[in-house]
Amino acid sequence: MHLKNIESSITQKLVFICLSFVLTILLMTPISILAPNQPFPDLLTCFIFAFFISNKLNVPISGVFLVSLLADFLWFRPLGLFTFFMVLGIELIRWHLQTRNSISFLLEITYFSLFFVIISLCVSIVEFIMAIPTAHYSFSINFVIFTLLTYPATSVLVRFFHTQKRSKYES
Amino acid sequence: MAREQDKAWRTVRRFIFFLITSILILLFILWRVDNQRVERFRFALIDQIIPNSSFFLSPISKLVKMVSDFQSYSQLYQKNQDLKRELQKMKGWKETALQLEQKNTQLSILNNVKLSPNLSWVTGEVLADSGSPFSKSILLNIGMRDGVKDGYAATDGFGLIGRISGVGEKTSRVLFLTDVSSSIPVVIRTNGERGLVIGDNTQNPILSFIETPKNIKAGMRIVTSGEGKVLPPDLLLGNVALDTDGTLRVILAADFNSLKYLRVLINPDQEIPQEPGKLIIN
Repeated sequence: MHLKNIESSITQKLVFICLSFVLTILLMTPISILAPNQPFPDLLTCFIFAFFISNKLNVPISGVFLVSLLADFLWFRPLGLFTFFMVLGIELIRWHLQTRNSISFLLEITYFSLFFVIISLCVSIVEFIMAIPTAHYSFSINFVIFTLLTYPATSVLVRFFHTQKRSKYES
Repeated sequence: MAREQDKAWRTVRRFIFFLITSILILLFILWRVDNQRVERFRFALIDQIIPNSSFFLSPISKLVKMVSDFQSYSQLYQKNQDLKRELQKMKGWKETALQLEQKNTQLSILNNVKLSPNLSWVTGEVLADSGSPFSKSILLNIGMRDGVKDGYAATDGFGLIGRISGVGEKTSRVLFLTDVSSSIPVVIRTNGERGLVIGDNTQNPILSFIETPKNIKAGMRIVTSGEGKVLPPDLLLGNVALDTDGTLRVILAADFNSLKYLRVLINPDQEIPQEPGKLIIN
């Protein structure tokens, strides 16, 4: 039984890293090169957070670090900046929720909204201080709003995936 | 026993957390201080990952293309009508172009103009859209081995798309004119006014630093001025447009919506920045 649990945990960790990697690459597909009027939501952050909330034990800090840093490299983001706040935020939420096994969907969305808004703000402030060129503030606000709107759908998909997995292991 | 194990595990976790955050802070500082070396490392990583991941990317691109093709079938009649109208206009333009070509040849002979024989180009395929929501750029499948260097101009046949900003062995990054960190020195064809075209992540970059903006009218053609000797002169960017708030903008001639292949202009005469990292701001 214990061995089965360890095996399941390793599989979940591998699934998290592999899916995140695939998502990072897929988001680079040259579908529309046209500079969009509206930004594309940050699906990777949505996925990492949703996976983390529904399975805290199997989303290690090292996994988040690797996946997010890879996205920094491939997406030409300032290296380490977004990942730093991401790791910090995830660990803070892990510490805050350490006594709770699961949270309601509404609370999850509230947590994500706070998490993403604070991360985006911190990143923008550091970029401003370090004189890194950034997009117009209205574009950044739209980016945050679109990501927040996308989160519920991502969360539902990840929850569905976990339910399927759990029922498979229980059977 | 279990409590001790738990305590030890917590200590290890804390250690890993501090190690990771320290690495990230150091990495960010290193990126700001020694941008050139870190960007080179970034390109080495991209060289390894992106060309080998095309089996992921191509099915999705093809699927999206199929959907857009299907959508375009439904608008076939309208498109046909539009094309007929365009063709009529083009016939008129063809005549004008032929006359202008003759005139241009005559004037070139009179002025004893010699075009640079060194200017050549290399065509690359768009590999990936490397732009994040805040950065507009793409990756091409040509790099240092094909003679591509930092600062070279990239066009799509209609007009300038951007410039090379970061080169790997097998890949190179094209920073779009629309990117927030792109600034191109330009000249207005009609009156010779000079200025800068500055990207702001919208489809129409801003035309700025014009000496007398009141002399600028919508529709005027904008070409590169060649100042700074990074981009060759006389590359078409597009036409001037006036925003609702009075800002001068550029309607780009390049068709950003159907970029599949790009032409990178190789000009050995142009001055290549010695520190490519300086071109890459983010």
